[in-house]
Amino acid sequence: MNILGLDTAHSACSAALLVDGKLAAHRFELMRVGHAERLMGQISEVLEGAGRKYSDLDRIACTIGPGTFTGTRIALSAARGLAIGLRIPVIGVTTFEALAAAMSGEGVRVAVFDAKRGELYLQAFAGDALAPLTAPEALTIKAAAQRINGLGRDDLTIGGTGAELLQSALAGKGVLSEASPVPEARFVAQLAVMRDAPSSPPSPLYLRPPDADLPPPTSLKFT
Amino acid sequence: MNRMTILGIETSCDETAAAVVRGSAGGPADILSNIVFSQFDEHAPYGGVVPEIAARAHIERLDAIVGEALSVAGIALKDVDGVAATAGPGLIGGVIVGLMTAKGLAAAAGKPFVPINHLEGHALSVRLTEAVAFPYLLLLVSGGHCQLINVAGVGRYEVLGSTIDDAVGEAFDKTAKLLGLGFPGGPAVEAVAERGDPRRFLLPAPLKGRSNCDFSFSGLKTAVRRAAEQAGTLSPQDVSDLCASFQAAVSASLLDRTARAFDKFTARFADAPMQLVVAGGVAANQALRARFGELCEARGAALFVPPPRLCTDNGAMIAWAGLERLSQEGSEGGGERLDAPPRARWPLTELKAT
Amino acid sequence: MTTTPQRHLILEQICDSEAATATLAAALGTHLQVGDLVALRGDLGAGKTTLARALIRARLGHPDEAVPSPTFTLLQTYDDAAAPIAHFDLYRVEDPSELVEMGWDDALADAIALVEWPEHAGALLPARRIDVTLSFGDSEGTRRVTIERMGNWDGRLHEL
Repeated sequence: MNILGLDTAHSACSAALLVDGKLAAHRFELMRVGHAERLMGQISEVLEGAGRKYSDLDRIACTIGPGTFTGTRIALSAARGLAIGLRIPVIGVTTFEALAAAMSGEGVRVAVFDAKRGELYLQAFAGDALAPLTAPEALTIKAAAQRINGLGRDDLTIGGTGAELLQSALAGKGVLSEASPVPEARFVAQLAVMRDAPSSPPSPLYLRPPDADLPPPTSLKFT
Repeated sequence: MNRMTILGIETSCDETAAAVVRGSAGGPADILSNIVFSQFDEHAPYGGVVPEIAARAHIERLDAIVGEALSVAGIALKDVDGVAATAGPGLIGGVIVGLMTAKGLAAAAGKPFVPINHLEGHALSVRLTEAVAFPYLLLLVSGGHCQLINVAGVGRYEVLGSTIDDAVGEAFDKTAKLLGLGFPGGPAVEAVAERGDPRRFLLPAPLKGRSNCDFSFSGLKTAVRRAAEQAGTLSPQDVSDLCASFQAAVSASLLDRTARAFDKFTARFADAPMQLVVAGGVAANQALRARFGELCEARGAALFVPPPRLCTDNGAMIAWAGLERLSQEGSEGGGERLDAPPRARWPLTELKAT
Repeated sequence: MTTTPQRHLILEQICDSEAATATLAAALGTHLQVGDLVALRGDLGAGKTTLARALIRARLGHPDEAVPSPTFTLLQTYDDAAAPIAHFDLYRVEDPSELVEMGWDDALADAIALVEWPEHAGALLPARRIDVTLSFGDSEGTRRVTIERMGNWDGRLHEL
């Protein structure tokens, strides 16, 4: 199975190609801005690097957030456009899953992003199987620490742009991951290997800020 | 000249729109499909379930709109010669959705991608339905736009004037709100004004007499408010008279600014026939149209007003601008255009001819 | 447990001309930082956009900067080395859920936000903000301007 993985949800732009399920080419560039300009170039470079064409793709994997408002839409819109043209599915992967997939070991993997204004995006998983231990959430730093403490585990690895903030709030508990604090497309692509294709394309994941009493932006249920 | 088929996508503000246009540069062209979400049959692609999608959630809607545009046009994506999309100006989130989806479509189909300035879409739209040669003077008047532009060619625009505060459409909507009329304000004010006396209230025609071509309508809003207060409790006739007076003031201001723009046009294009294009939602106002007709007749100018469905935001004007640009530029440089940035601000004067 | 946000009156003033309101706007502007939100309240024609325009021009140092009304565009952004400015007009917003697609959360975190018709933001309007209220004075051109601080400002903006 040939899978194109994409991510622009945070301060990096990356594309990766799996050929027959194995990583064949990838690009990863840190950038605060410029994703919309650079992404298509990265995609053609990874295809060319692996000697493949767009028509060789079987599916596209893309992060859906949480992340920046503009970043989550850049790769996802490109993925959906490619998918229409190639008549292939888009598999959505959260930035939490992408981060956790980059970590290693059987302990707890805490994926946490700095959402600014004293807030964090947070989700914790267990081991290689990435079994979710918490739901994806937007929380104050204090509430995030409570959530993690509430797991009652001492085998914590913490990764993401909010890792240091969370670790301080945990009074130094847990180990900071050595993986990239922002998602990488090669892990996004890898996660899509075993997933079922959804019947409709994924949408951006919007986590409500704490205390905002608001219905989700769309009430259309995608199966 | 070769005929080309272009898919155009527009998501820069409220509307999610896609269209397929076929023709050659210069126009007019065939609009094979022109799908806008606000008028779309919402049931079809969702299997009968009517979705509640928040306004401007373009990423939820665009796939279905593009599919419909291709389907109604009776073509597949591989049959287009290019994909065009608005790259700005507008709300950055929406712009990104249209821009990047279009890049994906173009890359998948192996066809050129063309980023389009939304205002250029409006500027060239008249050529979609009429054979109007360059140069022409364009008055773009809608809720969000108020500009006078010399259009000398594709990518050759001179902005003669724009609004320094409120656009005309906005002035109509807020006047309607002030006077307790319905929404949308433009048609409500126009309807009520028909029975009114335009000379009863002396409202200022903003910037009339100034030598530039700028517009200003926020002062008129305050004047309407004051006149309404002074009149006390408003009878329906009072409201009609106020609307008629307001409309007359808007007319006077627009005509004055446009007449000055005529002078600049003729100074710039001495040998060209005088042509005025009035585009944008406000162009639907019949009273205004009549005034423009009189002005053009007095100046020996031809008047063109595109059909309403091409005046509100739509994909056909974007496809058309894409066609005009692709005709000029050719399909080399397709790879470079895939790195076109989304732009919240993109003044028309930054565009270049190819 | 809900706590009522603290409200502190910074200033209440009659401005007898547009120029006086502009001076006040400029003064307010000097105190603002990224992450601050100014809610502009008042009836149609009370001068919310005029005040926002003066504030933006003063912060940018460009007295002739084009600052059109955001009523239809919903949002106009202004780049600035010191702090970007996001000028929202929620007049046409019918439901707070629409703010998501306007990049509301990111704008509030990354810019100075000026918001007209803040009532339409519902629960998404932050508790910590500046409320500027404009009302009509006795004569044409005069406005009563009230500036209040809501929530915890850590000692900032005690006065202008």
